[in-house]
Amino acid sequence: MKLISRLLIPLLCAVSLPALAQNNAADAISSDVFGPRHPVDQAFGAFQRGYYLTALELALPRAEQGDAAAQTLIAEIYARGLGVVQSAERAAGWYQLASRNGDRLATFELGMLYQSGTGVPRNRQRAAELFKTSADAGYIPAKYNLALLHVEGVYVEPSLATAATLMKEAADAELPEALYDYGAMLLEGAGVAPDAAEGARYMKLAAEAGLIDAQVDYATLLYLGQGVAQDIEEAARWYGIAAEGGSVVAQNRYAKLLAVGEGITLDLEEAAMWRALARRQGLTDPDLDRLLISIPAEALARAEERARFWPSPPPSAAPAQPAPEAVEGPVLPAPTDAENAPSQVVDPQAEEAVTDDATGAAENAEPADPEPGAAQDP
Amino acid sequence: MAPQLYLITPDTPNLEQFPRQLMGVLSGPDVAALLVRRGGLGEADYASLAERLIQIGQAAGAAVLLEDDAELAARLGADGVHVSSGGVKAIRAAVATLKPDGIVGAGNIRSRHDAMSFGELDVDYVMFGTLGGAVDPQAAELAQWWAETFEVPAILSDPKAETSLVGTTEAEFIALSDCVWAAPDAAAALAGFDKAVKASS
Repeated sequence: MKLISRLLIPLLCAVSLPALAQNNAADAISSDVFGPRHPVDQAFGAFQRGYYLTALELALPRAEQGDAAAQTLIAEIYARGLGVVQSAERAAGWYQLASRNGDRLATFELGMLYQSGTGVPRNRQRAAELFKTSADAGYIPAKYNLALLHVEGVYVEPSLATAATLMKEAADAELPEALYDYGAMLLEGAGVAPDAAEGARYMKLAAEAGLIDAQVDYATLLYLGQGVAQDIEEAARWYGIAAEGGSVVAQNRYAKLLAVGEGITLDLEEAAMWRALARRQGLTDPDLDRLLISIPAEALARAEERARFWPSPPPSAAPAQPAPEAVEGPVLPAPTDAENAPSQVVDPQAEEAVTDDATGAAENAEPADPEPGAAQDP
Repeated sequence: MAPQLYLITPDTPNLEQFPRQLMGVLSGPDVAALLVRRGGLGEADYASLAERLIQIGQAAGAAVLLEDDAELAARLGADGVHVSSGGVKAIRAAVATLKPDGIVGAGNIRSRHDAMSFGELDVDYVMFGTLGGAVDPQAAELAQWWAETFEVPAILSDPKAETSLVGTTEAEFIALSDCVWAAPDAAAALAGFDKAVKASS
């Protein structure tokens, strides 16, 4: 591995040399337009390109000198096992060092390790302190976690108001979970004055950010017209999205809307398919069964068949693969062409014959073929 | 929690007098472990000194560790080995020789990376700092960091330790060496640390 990185560094230098060698006018314009160049973090650059061991090698000396960014980088490499054996203990060690040097991301990640007891003894009190430090330094995921701790009220002072303030900060930074939780707090009036319209707005943002629970809740708000103008079609659309995402509640409700054609075109087969998917997750609903009582037998069979293969279409219904178009130009040799077979057959028993013929084989004009029978069989 | 005491023998002890002196020093204070330092001793001298100190140390209720030679430790009936040279390879070999009954400790840690590499090897402790002589300026900070983060116990070795160290470090053990043997009355010096430990626990 060392060899690779040693090779790599001269290569990288060689690539960047022509750019540096350009005349100064270009540099001057560049710094006029983009401002002065920042020193490049080579370790992080290697990390971003996926050269994790190079990143580790570049970061280690800096990390030993107390460079917080390098320490965090190494911690990430060990935490995720990138090119090295995954080690939560080592990750914790480096996060700890970086955290002491003021890296708020490291402080947060260390908090997560203490919260779950990964690589360190589980210590939720310590986790809470670390989340607080990181949140105070402005790290958004830490604010979210600290907000949850204020709701729980065991490891920090129980306070819904504090939780709501922190949750709003995290939500306004567009953390999807925070958008959802803050939306729920507004709807329920937990720690803040109840505000259905504002709650629905946050819920919509969380739904748009792809949070499935939020999609279900927002669809429900739309259906009921709570905090937002009633819009059955839009509700059906969100239930559909959440159903696709695997939410069993959404699958059930979407099936009902399809079965009665509310907000969406009536489609019993589609409804039966979603019912089958919801059942597969353990939800049976007599109301839905009543709505689907009149479904024709073959439509039901098709629906169940589709559910079995969902999200892929059933094999029979899958359109036949179009034949690949003819390629213009010379036909590429197929890997099974006899001409492409290795010119030397590796056969331990014929080894001596091969070495004897080695010179002939290298020229490839006359392939060495000590045992013609062995090369034929693919 | 107050640290426990770990005693390191001097660099070049007087082979005739030292066992007697050690006996005197160990009567009274609670010492968890005694490391028989190799220092400037030849192979034969080290083996014969180790043999005598193992008896004295074990009689005083301390675990006696030899330096680097796991085979010798096994042969003489020592409690374990402190590996201070040879790195990961030597530690692995010592673990293979002595575990599960014996103790294996890792020393001579030059970096955080070293510490973590050694700490993963099923060792019973990692020691930060030198066995004697000059104080390693980073040792205290590293030991603090280690004790905060890792489950393997940390030993902070400070040849110039003062009794106040007992109350300030989070390391599970403090290792004493020159600060005891260079004192006018070694027994009194060690007893001072023992008193500080008992006062803070």
